[in-house]
Amino acid sequence: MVAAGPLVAPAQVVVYCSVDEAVGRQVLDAFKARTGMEVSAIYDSEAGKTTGLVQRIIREAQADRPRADVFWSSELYNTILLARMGVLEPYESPQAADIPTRFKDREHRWTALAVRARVLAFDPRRTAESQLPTRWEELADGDFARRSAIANPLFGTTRGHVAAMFALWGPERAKVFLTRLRDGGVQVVDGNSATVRAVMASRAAFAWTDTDDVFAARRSAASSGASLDMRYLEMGGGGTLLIPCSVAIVQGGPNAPAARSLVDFLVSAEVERMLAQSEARFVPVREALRTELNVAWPAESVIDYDAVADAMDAADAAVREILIR
Amino acid sequence: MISRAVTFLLITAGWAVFVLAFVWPTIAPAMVSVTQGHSPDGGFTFSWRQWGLLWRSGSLSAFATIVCLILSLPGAYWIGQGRRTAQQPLVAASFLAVMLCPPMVFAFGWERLLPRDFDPNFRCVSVWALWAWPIPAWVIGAGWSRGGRAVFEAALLSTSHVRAFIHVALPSLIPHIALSALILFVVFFGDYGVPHACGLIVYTTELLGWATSSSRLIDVGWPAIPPTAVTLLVLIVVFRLWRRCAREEVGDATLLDRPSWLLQLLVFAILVVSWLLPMGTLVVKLASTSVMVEALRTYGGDLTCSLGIAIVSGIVAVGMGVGIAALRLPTVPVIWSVVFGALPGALIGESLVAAYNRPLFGWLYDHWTIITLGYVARFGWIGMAIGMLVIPGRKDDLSAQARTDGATEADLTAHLFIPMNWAILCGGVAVIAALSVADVATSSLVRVPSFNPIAHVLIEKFHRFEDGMLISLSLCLVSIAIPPALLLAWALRRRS
Repeated sequence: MVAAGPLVAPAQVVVYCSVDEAVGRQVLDAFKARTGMEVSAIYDSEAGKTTGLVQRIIREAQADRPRADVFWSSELYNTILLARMGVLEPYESPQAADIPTRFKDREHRWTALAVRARVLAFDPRRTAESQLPTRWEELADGDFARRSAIANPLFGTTRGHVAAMFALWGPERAKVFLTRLRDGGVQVVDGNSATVRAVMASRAAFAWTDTDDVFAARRSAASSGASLDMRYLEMGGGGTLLIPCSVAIVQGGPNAPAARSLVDFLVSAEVERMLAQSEARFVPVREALRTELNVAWPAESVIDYDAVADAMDAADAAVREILIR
Repeated sequence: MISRAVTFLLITAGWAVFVLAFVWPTIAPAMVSVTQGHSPDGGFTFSWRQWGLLWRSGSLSAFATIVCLILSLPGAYWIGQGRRTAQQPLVAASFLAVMLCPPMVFAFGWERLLPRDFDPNFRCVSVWALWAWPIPAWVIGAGWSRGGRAVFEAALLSTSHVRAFIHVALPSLIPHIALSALILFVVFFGDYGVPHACGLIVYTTELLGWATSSSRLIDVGWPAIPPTAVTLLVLIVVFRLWRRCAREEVGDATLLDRPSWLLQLLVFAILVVSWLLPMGTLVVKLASTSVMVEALRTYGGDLTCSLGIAIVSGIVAVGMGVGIAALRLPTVPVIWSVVFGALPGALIGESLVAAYNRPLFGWLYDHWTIITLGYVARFGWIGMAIGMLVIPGRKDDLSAQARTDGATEADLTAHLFIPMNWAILCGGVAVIAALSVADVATSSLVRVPSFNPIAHVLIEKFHRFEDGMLISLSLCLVSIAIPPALLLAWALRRRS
């Protein structure tokens, strides 16, 4: 159950949301039905993804007129950067009490939950399991790079993925990897779903993408006779990169009490269950929910999220210098 | 008295919109840039990738323009030959309906029609060309009808068909061909949706990414220079060509020949391939009507808002054009709007954010009005062109006669120019509305919480592989384009 809110519900709350529109709309509609509150949302555009909304929040903060009350992101690293810039308001939601500590900011400026994983998608009819790499770093080897499609690493979850490589491997090793990818002829395309489309159209054999993109593409693949599968590659530190969604209150937003009600809802076990049962199949961070839904926790590259956020600037600069030049 | 009041209001509103959409969004970003810093993230250089993307954008657009011009010739000949198009409302409506649908929708149709491994570059060119061919068909057809055919037939008295066409008819059509090429190139070069739907990264894609990932204007202003320069260069070349080749038109031809059955068949075939084939594919692929009901239930509000705002934007842009033309001082505003038209949509969006993301302008920035201003800033040049077309200069015979009879400028505007040209005005509104509905670049930056632009919903559905929703919404847009096309065709017929 959601924590009791104020007796008279505020009329409106504005949320900037980079969780997939279909999933986000379903959750926000449930909140609307529950509270009677009017929820207005700006979803991310495909061009800017989460970064576009982050920049919008920054611009509005700089102009001293925040328009968003809540930021509900499909990833965490940009939220950490916003917290560091002082544009997020601390709030410790009682609904997040059962979320493991590592998914919560020490200063209560954000809460993370519902993870996706970075995976390698492939067409099992064209690529046998035995031909697949087992580690992300192998994708720069031999013929793998030329046959791989990657989204522009300056945006979206690929940005966090490359930053995580910088954080885990150190800048020198990560730069060598990027250089080898470039020299190997990796295909840089427009977004994660474009990498999957490249595999489905036989323009690439491997797609660097997220689990939810593979689940979404499988639906289309089934109807068109295509085939798609995925593999969790080892990045170092025990497994692949997991990317949690995050929820935060924007400092100085126009509807502060309503923002808290919405955050209480978004971080609740009820919403995490909805996300897990959605077509995107997020994996809950709450162990009890995983048990209830019979969902396994993917082999994870245990990495400090702050360290990834720290590495983002260096990773962006290297991507510009090496891969996107 | 009433006509004076109406004209005064029109002029005042036109100039107010011009200041809001063009003047302040030019001044404010310049001021913001000074405080934000002068150096772009990557320094004052252009990377090889940027040059490569510029080349890809330019070559795809140029190639599509050529293909489109070739495809348009039978249609142009149909329009120019024989009866006026206005007297063939179904043909006119068919041509208009193609143009009033967002090109992205055609891309989705072709994606399902062509093999998955079909080359994305060719797919992009095909989609553009097969969508846009009615534009040059109208323009070149008008030139052929007004002068080209007459001089061609006169030349036939002394030379062969081929020589008459190459040496006489073609030069007389060069201004119209050049104008068509300009419109096509500008539309293709600035388009985000079709390359995106074809899985291609072009300069617009990258520029929009830079715009949305940086809060500093210079980070998008600097990389926006090459595409703007290319567009302006094309504009200047076409304008010079126009001035060199423009000659007195022979006048409205009252030709009553019926185009040959072969030509009719050819035009029909092109219409079928460009319009019915992709749309028919979408209809066939629509699994069930319940998906469409679900799509309308979920996104009906976004669809209605998007269309409403696009139509309002069309009305505002055309109204601005007429208002400014009515004062007979259009040179500076026209040049200003053309320069804005040459700017990438992302830069226009950035400029509007820099101009209106301020406490003073909350009434504008927080509501749909900011999106309307974005569309007007991007497509206002069409409104200006319509304004200049509708309100002719002082040398116009009809207005000169009316002046001699004692009519004031206000009387002329209210009682002569606007009533006489309402079909053209409606056409301008429809074209701007259609372009606005399809816009992604500008509306990515100027968005409001109350609704999600339908072009963004379509792209989201495309990316989430939600075929049912994607097809349903695409077919909704197509269905919506047909009534205005029929209405416009009817209006053109009445006008004639």
